[in-house]
Amino acid sequence: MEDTELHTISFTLNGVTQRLRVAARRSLTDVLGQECGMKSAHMGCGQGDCGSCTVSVDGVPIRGCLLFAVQADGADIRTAEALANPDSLAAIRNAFKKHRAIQCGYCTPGFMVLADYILRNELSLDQAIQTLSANLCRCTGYSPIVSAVADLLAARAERGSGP
Amino acid sequence: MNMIGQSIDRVEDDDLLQASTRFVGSLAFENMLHMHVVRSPYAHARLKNVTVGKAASAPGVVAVWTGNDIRELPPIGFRRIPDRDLLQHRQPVMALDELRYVGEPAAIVLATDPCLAEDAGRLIAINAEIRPPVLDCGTETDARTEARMRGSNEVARIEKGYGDVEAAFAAAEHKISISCRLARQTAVPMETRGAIAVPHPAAAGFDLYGAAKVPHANRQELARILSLDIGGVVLREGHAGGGFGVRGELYPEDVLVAFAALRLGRPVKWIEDRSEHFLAINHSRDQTIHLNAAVSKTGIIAALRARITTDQGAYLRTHEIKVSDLSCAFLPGPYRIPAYQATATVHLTNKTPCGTYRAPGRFEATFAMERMIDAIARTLELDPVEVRRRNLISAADMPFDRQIEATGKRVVYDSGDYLQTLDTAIRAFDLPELRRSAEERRQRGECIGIGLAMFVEKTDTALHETARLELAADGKIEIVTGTSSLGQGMETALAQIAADGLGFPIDVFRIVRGQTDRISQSGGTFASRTTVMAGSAIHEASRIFRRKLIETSAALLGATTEVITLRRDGCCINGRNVALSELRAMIDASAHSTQLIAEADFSSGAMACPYGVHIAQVKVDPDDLSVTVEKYHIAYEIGRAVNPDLVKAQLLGGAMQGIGGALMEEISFSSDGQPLTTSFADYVTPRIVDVPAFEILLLEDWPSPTNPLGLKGAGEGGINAAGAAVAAAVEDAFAAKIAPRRLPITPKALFDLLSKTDDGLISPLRRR
Amino acid sequence: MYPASFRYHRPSGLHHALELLSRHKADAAILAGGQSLVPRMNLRQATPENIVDLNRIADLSKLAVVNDVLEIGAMVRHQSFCCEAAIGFLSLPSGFAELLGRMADTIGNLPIRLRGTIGGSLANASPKAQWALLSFLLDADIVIENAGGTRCERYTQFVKGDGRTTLKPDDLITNVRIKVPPAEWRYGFAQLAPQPNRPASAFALVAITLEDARVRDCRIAIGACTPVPCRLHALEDWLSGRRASVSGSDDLVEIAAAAVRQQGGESQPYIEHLAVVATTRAIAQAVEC
Ligand SMILES: Cc1cc2nc3c(=O)[nH]c(=O)nc-3n(C[C@H](O)[C@H](O)[C@H](O)COP(=O)(O)OP(=O)(O)OC[C@H]3O[C@@H](n4cnc5c(N)ncnc54)[C@H](O)[C@@H]3O)c2cc1C
Ligand code: FES
Ligand code: FES
Repeated sequence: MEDTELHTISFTLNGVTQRLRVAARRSLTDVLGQECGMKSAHMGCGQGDCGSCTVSVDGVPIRGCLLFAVQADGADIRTAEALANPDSLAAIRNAFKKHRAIQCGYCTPGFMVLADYILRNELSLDQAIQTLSANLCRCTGYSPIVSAVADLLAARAERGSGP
Repeated sequence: MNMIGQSIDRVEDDDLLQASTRFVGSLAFENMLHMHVVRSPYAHARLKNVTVGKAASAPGVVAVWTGNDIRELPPIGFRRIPDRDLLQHRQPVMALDELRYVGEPAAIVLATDPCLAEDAGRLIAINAEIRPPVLDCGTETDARTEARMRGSNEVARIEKGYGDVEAAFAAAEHKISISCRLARQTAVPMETRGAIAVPHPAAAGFDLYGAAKVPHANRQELARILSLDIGGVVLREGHAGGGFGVRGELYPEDVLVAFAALRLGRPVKWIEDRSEHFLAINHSRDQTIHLNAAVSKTGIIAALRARITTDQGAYLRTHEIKVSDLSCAFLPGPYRIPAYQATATVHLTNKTPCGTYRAPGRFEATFAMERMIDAIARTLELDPVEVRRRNLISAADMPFDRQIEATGKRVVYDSGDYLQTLDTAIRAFDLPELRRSAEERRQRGECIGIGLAMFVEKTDTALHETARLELAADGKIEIVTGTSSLGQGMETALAQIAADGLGFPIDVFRIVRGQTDRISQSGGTFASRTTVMAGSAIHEASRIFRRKLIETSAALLGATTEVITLRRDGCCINGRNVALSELRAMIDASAHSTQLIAEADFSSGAMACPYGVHIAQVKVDPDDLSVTVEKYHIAYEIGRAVNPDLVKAQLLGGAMQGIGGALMEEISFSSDGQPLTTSFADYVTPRIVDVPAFEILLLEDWPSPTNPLGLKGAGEGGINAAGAAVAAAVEDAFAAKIAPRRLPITPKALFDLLSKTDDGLISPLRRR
Repeated sequence: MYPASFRYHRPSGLHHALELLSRHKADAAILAGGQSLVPRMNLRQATPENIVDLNRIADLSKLAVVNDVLEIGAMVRHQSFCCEAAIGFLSLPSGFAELLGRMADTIGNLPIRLRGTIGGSLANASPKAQWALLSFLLDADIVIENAGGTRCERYTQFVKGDGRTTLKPDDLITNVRIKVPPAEWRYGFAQLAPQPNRPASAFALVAITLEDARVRDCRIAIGACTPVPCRLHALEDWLSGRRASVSGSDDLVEIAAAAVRQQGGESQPYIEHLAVVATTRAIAQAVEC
């Protein structure tokens, strides 16, 4: 069956409203990458296993490969290009860089979205590690990613307890 | 400025963090078509025909081709030709008369949209006569199987050795034999493969995006297969999501996109999905290694016999039988072993073909050799560390000629003091304390073990390497190399070497890599060679560039070379600063000056051999038998580290992959050859919860004499001994009552192993 | 990699959804969290012509306790149970609330739990589903509607095998009803997977009551290693009336092993072993908690 039927949808992408016409079968990851030019939208498995496609939808991390773009009609979507808070985004980037939490960078956007969620929800380090365990990385051996997020949590705690 | 040895930030990171880089999946071209590959559903069948039927007229479809339509294309060749007889086992670009593994390309659809291409693919029928598949090494084949296997599926035999093995065995006080087995595994980079071919006008050639690893070799092979002038094939490397040896070899799909783009005169894109990836990309490991050692009562190995069998899968791909060759050559590792005889046989089966995966042949060989050392220790009731000490090659014997060849090149260990490194590692990681605390915890009923393994790696130097430095119009110095970035941070390391040579800061440089029209030659990126080979060439090129820069500035500014000094981003002449961009403008304006370009070529007769020690501490859950690696320590002799943090990152990532290989990863097939591992749900790789406490010690005590900077490679030392160290630790955890000699050591494998012991180990619940 | 083409319907109310289902029957599939259906569609193992998306039907996401029965709307996400803010208002017995949270927490990973639903999980009928085990042990009732009316099925009748239920193409699960257990109930849940964050190889769920340090009543179920969850009646009988301290004993292991073997069919010794481990761990937890 051909995609004769296109759906008109709109969502906020990194704070900017987008109006698109999409076939129902295109995943959010596919549409973000191919239609919206988001270079961070990566498909790694299309099965929910790897997390390369993780984006924030209405404030929570979800698998972009398992959500049809039509379902995101009206949603607030954030990708690693512009997470909700610019300061936090800069801090996440710096921590990833400092701790060598990036090698090939393919998994990085997904981990940044998880890190952002962890920071916004003030998770404990243990909870953070559980959360990060959702995604796969084949290059770094993970421990640099854990260090980066631990560092971010510590910095946040310090700021939080300050005057 | 001394840039070598500094752990500066990676130059790659800002682009990756800001997601301003494009992986091949997000590249698109005007008028582009999408390719879908229809693959064999059978492990083995005679292909009668492929019925295209309605697919050809389905919406969006521009062309559908089967093997018959491309019969003129020769099979994909080897990068070296070890034996002409083997050429018959090369893989055709698409299946012609025989389907030989599940996933073999049988037809392609080209359509205006990737969904439509896949839709049409479903309409194509493969009509075939199913044959019994060959699934094991040493299968006797008969008329029902295949002519190419002639009575047996063994297609190649490699023999290597030296010394009088017979005599040593005749005189031996102990003869110890073990059998080791490594399951089929693969690298699974997070980005699947992808390729886009963009045709040149009049089908004179094409640009190919997507692959990264060996662009020059692939250019040559593509030109040969497609009967094009080599200049017509241009490879353009972008960003790649991990390589580990499997990405970037020339695969059928790369040829197919190029072929289609040329035929149709339109750009053609193909993106692999994950289940295709598990069927199509090179598998690896899948070796059985039997070892026989003649050993003195003091634990000294007088001779070693190795019998290696490799399940190579359905075809010999670009690497032909290289992995088996490497296993034979590197099996003796850091040990003297005065007499050695190895036989490796390579067997074709109806499974995905195998190739190289990080530390190819060496992960396997180290596993077997180190398990043998531990077996000797156990038999003779010696400390495993002591047995290693007694057999290590001494520093006085360096460079050590192994008297055998690996892929046609003499194996000579260039430099090092293995004993010293072992002692350094034992001290640094406090092995006695690790063992003591493990013993204490064992007394308390925990199941804790410590394992140690040693290894020698090699940095491939078989091919020479060209590099060029060029002053670009914007005043940046371009470092042009044909080696590839697969995430390892090579841009940073190479820029550091150039910065070091010229005394300029790092931001003056821009790396241009993997563009075959920008540099005449390159060996590519594999076997940890990039920093060593391209780095050495860049080191030399920067010397030439420096001289030319001074001469050119002197000529343009009417000064003598003596008064010119180099400074931050240019040069200084009698107190006047001339920026590089200014200099470039002056060159452009002058009728007499030529552009500032320096090219150098580096080749080395000998391989650089990094080496090291791995120590693993594991905890086994006595009930469910899951193995947790609690600590992982690596001491690694790198010769000289260009960027120590990057080397550590390589070791850490490699070790984690190795732990996956040791405990989790296994590709399996059903009895009719259907792959059972086609997703991350089936192929279990490490996750964050599996991360041990890592400690990494970089040693720079033994610079390599084989290159001017003393470099040794970094890519494979992290994974090399991981299987061996983890297995030794598991053995120790059970007080050597079991000997795990098969990887991966899954809880189920451990359960089976324990079930075979007679002292009731398998009723762990009952022990309490 | 791309699903087959389909028509997408987004009903805003239950009635509309039921009507769509009755119109398209076998040509339609319900889309709940999509965490099981979409992976299959991406591989074209499922190729529905119509998709009926339940995500905008607010009524299906309700959680309430009515007459001591916990009513869980089919579209309640797994993650809701991990979150005090989402279920706190129900004032469930603390042990029970904790159990729901602990079981939910072992489902996949956070992004999966944030989308996946209890209705989808039960309809999917995977042997490895935590909600299947819970529904089985606590005799959940599944409320099913179609254009013709509503029916209610006990979970044991509803599930027919690995991936098989009594659901007809036009049926829709609207609710799951679980009688809120008495506060004195104690629970144990243990799951063994090839790796954390992986679907279970075996799990066990235990509910007991204690009296004078003795087990009064108990229910024990295992799953994941069997096509549908099953009760270990022999073990329950043995345990009832015994001192709680038997939970670590060799005898218990023996009996558990025998009870598991009875269920085993042709399952492998290793999986059997895991089921025994899960069972004994769950019992120990229930006793100790
Ligand atoms: C990586 C990964 C790991 C996972 N691990 C686990 C795990 O450990 N344990 C576990 O239990 N699950 C696991 N899951 C599955 C997950 O829990 C799913 O969410 C769940 O199985 C299905 O729920 P869903 O809401 O996503 O349903 P969907 O995927 O939307 O639907 C599943 C099926 O149920 C039908 N359906 C859905 N809702 C209804 C309804 N209300 N009435 C009738 N039919 C309906 C659909 O038509 C479809 O056939 C995992 C999934 C992934 C991707
Ligand atoms: S691509 Fe979505 S989880 Fe892998
Ligand atoms: S950095 Fe390559 S997969 Fe994570």
